Amino acid sequence: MNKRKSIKKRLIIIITALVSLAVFMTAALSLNNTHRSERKRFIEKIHLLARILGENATAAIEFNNSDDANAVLNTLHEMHSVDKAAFYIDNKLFASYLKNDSMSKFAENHLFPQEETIYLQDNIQVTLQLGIASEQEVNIIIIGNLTELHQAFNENIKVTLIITLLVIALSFLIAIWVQHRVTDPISLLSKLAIDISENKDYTQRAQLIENDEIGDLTKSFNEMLYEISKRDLEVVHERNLAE
Amino acid sequence: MIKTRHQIIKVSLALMVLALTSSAKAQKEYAVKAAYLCNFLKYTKFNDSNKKFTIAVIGQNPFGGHLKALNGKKIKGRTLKVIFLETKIANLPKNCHIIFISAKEALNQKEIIKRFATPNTLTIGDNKWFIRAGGHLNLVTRNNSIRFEVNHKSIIKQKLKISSKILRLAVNRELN
Repeated sequence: MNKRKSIKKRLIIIITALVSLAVFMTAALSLNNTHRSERKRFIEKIHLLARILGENATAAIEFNNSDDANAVLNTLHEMHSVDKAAFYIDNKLFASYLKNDSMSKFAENHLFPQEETIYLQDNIQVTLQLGIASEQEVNIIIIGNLTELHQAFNENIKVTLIITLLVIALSFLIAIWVQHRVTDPISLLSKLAIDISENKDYTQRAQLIENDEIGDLTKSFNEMLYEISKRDLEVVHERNLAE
Repeated sequence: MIKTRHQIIKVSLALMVLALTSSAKAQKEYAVKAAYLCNFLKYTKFNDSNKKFTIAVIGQNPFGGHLKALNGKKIKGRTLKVIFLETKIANLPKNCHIIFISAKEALNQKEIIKRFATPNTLTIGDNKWFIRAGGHLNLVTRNNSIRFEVNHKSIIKQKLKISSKILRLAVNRELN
């Protein structure tokens, strides 16, 4: 025998499940897109920074003044998202910047590709070739720190999760309200039908709540009750006459 | 007698080596200075429509062949022309972008600088009296590197448009 399933419960489960699924999907997509665009923006920022630093250090590089190139790189102190940076001329270290002295230093010689972006675990390494002096090959390497980006992403996840749970709770409440609006007239009709079937009292009438499909059903049900009670009365009347 | 002769030969050889070393060092120094002159052209804005950049060396040429080798080089789309001039002030052309005054012309430099006091000529020298004589940039040696002093006063006075990137590299940063 099939287990009895209430329409009320089914309605609540369906509405809540659909809303939860939609909210989860939207939140996941939104988080993914936000993270991707934030990372893209971060890389663009590092690239822009590399070009600005290169531009600011052109004279220092052309006049072989590593002190000034170091001073240019030291302006990165204000940028917490940059760990290290260096200028290489003809693959030889010319000037460098380290956020902390404890960080590993740049190698004195390094062979560079023209342009490269490498993702490390918590870092991103951007290498660019700067078109400064035609005689020399000048590279800038910037190692950016993704920790802030990851922290922001984790914060986003927390906020999105809280909002998602709130939306699901709200959808549950809305589902209960919708269920009441839809099933209450049917329940009333069902209870009345059971009551009539048990007590055989066909004079009872269902209350018309809404003028909709259920309202039509109620009207038809009441008409049917009226017909039955009328027929009963006629039968009783005929029987009385016969007696 | 033989011992004295040996000593003379040794001293002569040492002097020759010393002379050769210092000459090689001076050549290297002026190779860098020649490159600096070209770089100064890149970072100075000249208000003329000339298709050439002219660098004039006044007095004895200390650059050897290093500056001459740069003749014809393209800088900011213009062709570099290097000329070497005598010190007769009346004969000096006026449309030079850079005037390098040789250290041997230190006595005449004040007069030469005065003649080229225009917004389109940068005067460069490499002697300790050059800035005081009113020159714009003076090449100096600091910690075995070629650096330069800037005469901010005369640059402002002559309305020369030199990039701040260059001025930042000067060994003297304040207005003198």
